Amino acid sequence: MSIQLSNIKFSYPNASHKSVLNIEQWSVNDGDKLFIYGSSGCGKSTLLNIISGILCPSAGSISVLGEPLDKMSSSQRDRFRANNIGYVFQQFNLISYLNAKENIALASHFSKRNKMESLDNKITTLLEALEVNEDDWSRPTSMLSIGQQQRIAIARAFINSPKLLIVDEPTSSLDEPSRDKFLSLLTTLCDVNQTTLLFVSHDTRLKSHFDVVQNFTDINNEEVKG
Amino acid sequence: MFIHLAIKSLLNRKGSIILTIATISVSLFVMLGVDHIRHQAKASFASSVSGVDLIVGGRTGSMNLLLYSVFRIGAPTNNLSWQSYKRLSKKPSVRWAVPISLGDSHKGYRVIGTTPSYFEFYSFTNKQPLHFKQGKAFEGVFDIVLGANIAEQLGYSLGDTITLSHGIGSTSFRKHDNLPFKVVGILKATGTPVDQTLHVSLQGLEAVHVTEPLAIRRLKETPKMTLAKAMNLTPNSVTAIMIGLKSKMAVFNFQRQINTDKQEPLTAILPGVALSQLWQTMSVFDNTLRLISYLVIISSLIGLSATLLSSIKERLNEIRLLRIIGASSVYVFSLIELEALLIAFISVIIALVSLSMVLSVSQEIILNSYGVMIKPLIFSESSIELIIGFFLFVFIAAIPPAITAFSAAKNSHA
Repeated sequence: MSIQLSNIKFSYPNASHKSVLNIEQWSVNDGDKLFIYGSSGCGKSTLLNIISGILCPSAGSISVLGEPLDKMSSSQRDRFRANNIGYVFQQFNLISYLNAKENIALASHFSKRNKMESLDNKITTLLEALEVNEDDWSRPTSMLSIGQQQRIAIARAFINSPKLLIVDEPTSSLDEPSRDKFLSLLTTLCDVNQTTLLFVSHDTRLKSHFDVVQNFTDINNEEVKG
Repeated sequence: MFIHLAIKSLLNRKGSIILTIATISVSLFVMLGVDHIRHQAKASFASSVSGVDLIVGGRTGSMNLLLYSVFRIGAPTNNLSWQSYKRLSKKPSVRWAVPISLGDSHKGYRVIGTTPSYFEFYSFTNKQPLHFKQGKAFEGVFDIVLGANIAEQLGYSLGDTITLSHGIGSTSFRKHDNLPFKVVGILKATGTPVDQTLHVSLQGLEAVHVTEPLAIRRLKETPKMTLAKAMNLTPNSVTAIMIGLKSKMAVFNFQRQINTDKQEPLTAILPGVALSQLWQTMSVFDNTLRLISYLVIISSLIGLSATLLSSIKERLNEIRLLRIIGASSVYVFSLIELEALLIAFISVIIALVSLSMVLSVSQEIILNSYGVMIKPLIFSESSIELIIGFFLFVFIAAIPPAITAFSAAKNSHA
């Protein structure tokens, strides 16, 4: 099992009466490419933050890649995240004043597990695989197109060979051809690296690219009214 | 990678960071400059006279006597008689006594009349005696010895002739141009008022004040007259006497003797005591300057804090991203602190470099116009203490923005 949740409850500390998540049992198998859809504001991102260990559930137990996240300290979770989880957002995926290579190297810097001697080679391979123009590797990422930025974000997410990749609405700012390109590159890399993919979007047209499709309201028992 | 990230982040915000660095550099420049000049002035001041046990003048205030006899500041109020000089110099406890006479000038620089033993006994900075760069002490009535700065500033060398002006100030209307003096010696630089002084014999000073035309003509015919032959030019009075005693123990006793002298009202001061009293009177000024320089630093650091704090809001995405790729909240805190310390470091370098440059350029000017020797080297113990203290304050000033970033990192979620 890649992810296993049981009896997870969550509410934000500043609004503790308002429960956001209530998940009895939910799990994701190793190597699955899972698509979760749901309208915005329904708690999808909160779930992703709990899985990546940025947020801690109010109650219940969670294990990711066999590690009990709810029993770890916050710094242990930081290290676990750096080592095992790749993350791609809708936007602001990159530090704008660093170039593509530096952004990727930074992600590797936080992962103490694999000190790669050939970091530069690996960055090059990833950027080539993601068809990022070589001219753009050393430019500040703020000067690149959104499509380029999102592909660099995938490279950044893959640099530590994560076992789990979380992708949160990455395509909403892309046009249709770049979106399809983006998805095919993403799924190919997941296959190559045997990475479990957790893809969240409100856009159900994307679901054809995935093995498993779930509606978020089937996972979360809490009715969240935005 | 950590430092690289901080540098790149600062470069990304060049505009506001450069202004912050400029503000802090200027305030550091003020603080270090004030501190340096304070110390140098004090050192230069305290070393202006040394090895002199007592300075004796006519009845006057001790500050006044010190100012005109050592610093050539102000005008002597009272002279003392030649008889008193003779009498005091013969006292058994006196090892040496050197009379000085003030009142004339050359191009705004003071002329002091004295005896050749002045060059033997007068000393400065830890009893360093005066040394000749060129030439020797005066032997003739119309010989003159120049302080290092005079020779340099006015471009005089051995053998040149100089005329004196009556009174002090560069635009005197009464010039003693009938009787020129010949430069026979140039002293090495001391960083004390001696550098700004021209030295002639008491007899020479007496000679230029002769008013009888016949006597003047006679003097003009004998420009090489030696001091020994100038018996008739012995002065009636002198401005002050510098005295060295055989035993330091006698100094207070001897001072009281002079101050209570029955034959002439006299004042005797201990130069060391008077110097520190004079410095004390300036301590209010001194402390005010220091306080202002600290306030300038504090205000610039508050500015630094504000700049960083307002940048945190724009950097929330960056902080969230750092968290996602595995940076801890402490890392984010340290990043902000590092950025502040980098700004501080650059500011210190700029301030130190510009201060040394300004000091080395203005060294001459300060020495010439204030008689204060300022060394351009600014790594004194106290400036290092100030810099360490400054970094400490930078760290504290960066805590509010760093804490804000830290809590943003703690609560950051997509």
